[in-house]
Amino acid sequence: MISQFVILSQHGDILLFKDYRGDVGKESPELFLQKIRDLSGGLAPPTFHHDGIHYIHVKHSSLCFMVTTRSNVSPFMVIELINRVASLCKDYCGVLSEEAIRLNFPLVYEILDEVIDFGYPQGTSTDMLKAYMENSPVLVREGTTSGLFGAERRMVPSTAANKSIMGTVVSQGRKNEIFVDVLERLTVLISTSGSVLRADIDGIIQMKSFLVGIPEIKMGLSEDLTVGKEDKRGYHSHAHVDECSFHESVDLSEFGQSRVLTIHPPQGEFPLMKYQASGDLPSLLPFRLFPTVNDQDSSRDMELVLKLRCDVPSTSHAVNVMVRVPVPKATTSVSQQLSGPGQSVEFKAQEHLVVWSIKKFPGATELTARFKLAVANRTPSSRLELGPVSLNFELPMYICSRLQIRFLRLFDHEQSYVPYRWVRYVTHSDSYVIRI
Amino acid sequence: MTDSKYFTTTKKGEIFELKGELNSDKKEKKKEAVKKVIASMTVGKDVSALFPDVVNCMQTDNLELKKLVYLYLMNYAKSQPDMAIMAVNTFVKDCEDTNPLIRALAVRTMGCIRVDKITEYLCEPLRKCLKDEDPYVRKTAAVCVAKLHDINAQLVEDQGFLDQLRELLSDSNPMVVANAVAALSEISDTSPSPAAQMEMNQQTINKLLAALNECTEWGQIFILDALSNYVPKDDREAQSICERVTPRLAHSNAGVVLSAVKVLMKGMEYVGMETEFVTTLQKKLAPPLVTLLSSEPEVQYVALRNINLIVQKRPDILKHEMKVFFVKYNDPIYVKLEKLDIMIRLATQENIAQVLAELKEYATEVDVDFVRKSVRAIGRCAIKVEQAAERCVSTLLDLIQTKVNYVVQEAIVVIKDIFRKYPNKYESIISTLCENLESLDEPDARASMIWIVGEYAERIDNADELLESFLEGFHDESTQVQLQLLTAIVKLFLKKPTETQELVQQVLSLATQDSDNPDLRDRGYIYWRLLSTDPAAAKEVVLAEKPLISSETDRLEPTLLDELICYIASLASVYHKPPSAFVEGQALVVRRTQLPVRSASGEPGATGATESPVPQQAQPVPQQQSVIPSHDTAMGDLLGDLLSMDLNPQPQQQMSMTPAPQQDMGGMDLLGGGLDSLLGGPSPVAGMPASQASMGGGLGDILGLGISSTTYVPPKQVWLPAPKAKGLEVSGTFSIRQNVRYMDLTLKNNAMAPMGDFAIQFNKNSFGLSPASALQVPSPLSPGQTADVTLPLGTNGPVQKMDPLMNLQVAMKNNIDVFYFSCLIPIHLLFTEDGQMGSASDRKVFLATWKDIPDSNEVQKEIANPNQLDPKGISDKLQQSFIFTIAQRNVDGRDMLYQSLKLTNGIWVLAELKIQPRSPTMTLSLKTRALDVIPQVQQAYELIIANM
Repeated sequence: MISQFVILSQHGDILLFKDYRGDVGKESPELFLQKIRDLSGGLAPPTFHHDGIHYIHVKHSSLCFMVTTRSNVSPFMVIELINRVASLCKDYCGVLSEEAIRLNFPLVYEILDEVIDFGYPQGTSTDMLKAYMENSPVLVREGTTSGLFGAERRMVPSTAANKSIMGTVVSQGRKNEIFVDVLERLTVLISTSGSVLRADIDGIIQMKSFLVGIPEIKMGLSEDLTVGKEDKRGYHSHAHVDECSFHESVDLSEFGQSRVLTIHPPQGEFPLMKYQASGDLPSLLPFRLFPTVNDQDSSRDMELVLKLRCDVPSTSHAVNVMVRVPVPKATTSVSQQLSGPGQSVEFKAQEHLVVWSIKKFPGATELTARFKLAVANRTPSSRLELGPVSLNFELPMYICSRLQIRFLRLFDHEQSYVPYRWVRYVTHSDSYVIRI
Repeated sequence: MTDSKYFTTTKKGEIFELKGELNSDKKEKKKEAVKKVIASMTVGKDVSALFPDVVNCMQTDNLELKKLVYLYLMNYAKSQPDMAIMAVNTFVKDCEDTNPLIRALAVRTMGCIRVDKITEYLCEPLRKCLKDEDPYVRKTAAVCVAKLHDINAQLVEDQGFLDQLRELLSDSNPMVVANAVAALSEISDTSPSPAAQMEMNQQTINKLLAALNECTEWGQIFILDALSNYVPKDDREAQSICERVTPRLAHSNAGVVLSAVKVLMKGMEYVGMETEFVTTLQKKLAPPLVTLLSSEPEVQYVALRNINLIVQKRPDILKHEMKVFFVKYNDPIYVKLEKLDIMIRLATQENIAQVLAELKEYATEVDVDFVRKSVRAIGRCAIKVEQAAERCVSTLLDLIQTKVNYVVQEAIVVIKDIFRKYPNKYESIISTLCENLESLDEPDARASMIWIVGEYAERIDNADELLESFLEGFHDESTQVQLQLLTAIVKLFLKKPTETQELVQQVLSLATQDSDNPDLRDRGYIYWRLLSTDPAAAKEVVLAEKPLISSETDRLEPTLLDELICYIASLASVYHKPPSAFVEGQALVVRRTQLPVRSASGEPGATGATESPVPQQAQPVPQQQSVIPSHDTAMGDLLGDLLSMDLNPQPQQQMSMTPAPQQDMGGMDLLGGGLDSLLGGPSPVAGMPASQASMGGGLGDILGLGISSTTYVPPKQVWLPAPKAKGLEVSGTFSIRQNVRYMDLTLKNNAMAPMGDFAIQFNKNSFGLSPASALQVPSPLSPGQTADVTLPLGTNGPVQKMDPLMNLQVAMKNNIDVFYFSCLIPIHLLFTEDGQMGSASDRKVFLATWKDIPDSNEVQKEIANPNQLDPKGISDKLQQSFIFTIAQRNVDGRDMLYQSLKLTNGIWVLAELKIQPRSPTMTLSLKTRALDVIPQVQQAYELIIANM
């Protein structure tokens, strides 16, 4: 069972140190940081051991949560526990940041005291804990909240949600609000011949509730949603997922019939539904790339033409599109010709990388970029070093699985009020790679 | 005003200031002061001086203040044990409070004050809280028992808290059940006392399964982990547990999913081998495992390490999921490397094209480590899937053309392996390889290239030039390259003797005269002598056909794999090492780590599971082993049987060259007269006349070399009397000669008709003894004739625990019928020649192991020393039976011998022999993790020593 729970800032300061068993020395954070620094690139596997002590660590919005233990614990349990504590801190402090932890240390100690006893995880639901909390949160000043949308992997949209679930309605002018996010991450791999080797969607419906009490919510998903690998049909015009799992607050009795989820949402943020789909997606892939490489004449520069097509409907658009092209190591300079404004190209000579950025990419349009690469000492293998191209992008209000929330209704017999409901859809690229 | 002011820098007199504030009358001020103290504590400042002042604030109605004080108390109580007692009264009072929150808080904090002195005050309040009406208090109290056990285990056992904890397993609140399970599991893991063991029976299991559906995700993990330690009594029960655990696979907490996977992986071992149930269950396991791979990299990494084990055990589960293991460009390197490994494990003829295409892409990536692994992976694919070898080789050639240095080097290393796996198939590419000779600068690659040149010297026109070029800097090369170069040039010489005489002279003198490396020198001398005495023999030796390399060299050793499967969802599964290798105090938990052993026929294994030892790299100390879990009640009988045997003392020092006893001696005669006549002979005489009879001169020759290590051989016994076997009489014994175990049999035909078509079979037995070859009986065996046969034995047969332990059931067939008999294997037959732990000069291993085995596993016995031998004599004698003396000491006039021995299944037994001069007895203390073998080993000592 776990021995210590430590929260470190990104500079390695100890923000919080909780010892549960007294069998690991107090110097463990220093040893841990030392170990991490010794590893090149800072890419330590999430668990490692040194001198009989096991360190398990996870990063959450620039904070490092680290756990030490001496016993043969379940690493998943610890990682999940860390994630849960991080989201509890966020629920109670409003945001998860160095400042928030510093300001609220008595509260976070209290949380850690309740959530873990002698190294055993106890109850971690936000609601249940509320009954045991004595400290009240200190809010972080406006404007210092953590980054823009997308800075964190799975975040509830606007900063409107960045507030503590504690505190009174009056003092904060808080309304009965509920935030729902449908986030999808896309993993795509396209071969040189243009065939799709892999297309996976990782989806999550994230909910953050500020509703008072535990009202009943009904959420209607796309009626034509099909679930399961076997249940694939010839044409894919409707929503489909292969696998899905639900939060324990979800009642699925109406799901089979009418795709309606009955939810008793606990306060705070939680993953309502996680789902995966792979293979033939219900919609077109959002981007297609048509590359042409001209390297026949080795006396001239290598020429690369990238024609990129955005295949989402014209009503949608992609933002922050970044096309990364690894180029031969011997590339000395790059010149380019772009087809329109709002784009830029950067050649990172150190990383042998050309980055083509497009701020906004409307659906059903096409952009072309021509690159001329000056490569010293061209060899036949120079061509091999070119590619694969990877894409980073964000598609606001667009979902590849076609999953939709038809309605979100609230049933509460005692109070009659209309909650504020915020629903967002976003698709992110996880690993979108095209080989050329 | 914010709390961040607590973190402002310490000024002089701050402590004094805080002292003032802590003693203030105002509650608010007090609270603020305590917060400041805790802030200082967090950043590592020493505020222990304020202990009495903070404790004074404890008696308050304000829960927030109380919690803050407790926080401080837990941190500093250990350093101020006397002061901590001041707090006890408040705790005891708080445990009676009307507010359950305060009761729970008190009982939780008390346990965290790790001061031995206060434990006795803890007992009464804890007892009450375990029966509290509020489940929140009860669940906190359950954990408190574990805390107390950690401080004072004896107290917990004496006070009956364990029983109270067991009662909580039936609690109505699932949270309480979960905490009770967690506490009991930990206590039974760390306590050597049998009373502390967590008893798992059907009833408990049912309770746990019921609680599983209701408790929190963390509770589910505790319960699943406890369930995985339960051995179901039959396959029906195993099946029903599996069925009830399966829904957990859909949980969103990865910890719950993986713990459920563990229960199911173990459960499948208990349900029959290839039943439909197992097939369906395997199908259900795939989706959750795939889902884990779509989580954060941290979870992915842990999942991949576990999946790596699962695909080795049951490759079918994920055979269709190759694509999810394709590397993403933004995966962290540790995830990439794991995925690569799993891809190769899943590679089959059907998907190899896909895999190769991927690997080829990876080989042109940026990260050097990853690229190297990818190139190596291509080689592994070639070796694993024969049909793809050609494609792999051409892919590797393409990569060599890139001239990227590290790619070329890595490719050459794997091509060498491919050559070894498929000799005479791809040699056409050698010329391409030779072009890259210059660029190789890593020892591995250089050695591989030299090996290739030497191996195919006859096809490479300028092989001599190539090798000569390496020779110039011979002394700067690493040993690996030097050895390879030496061998390669000798090979070259044997193939093209005329042109290369000078070269071989040169390398031999470099290796033998100019080198300090003993390995190199020895190899040089061997070659030199071979070449000068008998070149033909040299050719046969040096150019001998090499054994093929196996395709699965990278697999985990099966017994280790089985053990690790039991540790899925724990750190052991991430490190791929058994917990005993990295967790202290885990050595006791032996019985939990076993998968049931199955017979070849696939019938469900009985609950008695047997585990073979787990060899670990660089760790000579055997860990976690036991022969057989349960204890044997029949051990006494066995002892009696053995002792009542006719123990003719048999001199065994050396096999003699004396003529073998006459052929016509019957089996019984051998025992009676034959041996007696050998007794006490001036020169020690052979103990196996029987075997000599059949093996004739050959054996004599071998034995005559005088290098035999001859273990004690018990006299032959009649195993199958003639009336029971239609006239066939079988007597026999066991022996070890030249490190081979034999069953020596005498067959006598007492019937009226000739006998033939003899064959023999063993039943499954405790140590997996099995015939290593067919039974060779001169046939037909005419009426009245006696034949002595020896049957070499292997130790890798099917294992099943026998009762008595050493029992061996044998079936013997002839042209008349099949007969069954049983005999007892003398345990020393199973001692192995590598039973010396560490070495005579390095006793640390022995010492460490001795200490590592708990004292409860030590058994003492007085044994006879009838000849009053001295330590030297005893030690020599024992050594012949593979009991090795590690150290000898003289303490207070008594000689102490420290000895070790190892059984064929890897169990180590350590011994301390106390020898009193001129005393007919001595004291033997044995220490081993597998207590079952102790009586046998004691007996073996007595037999060997008595039969000097």
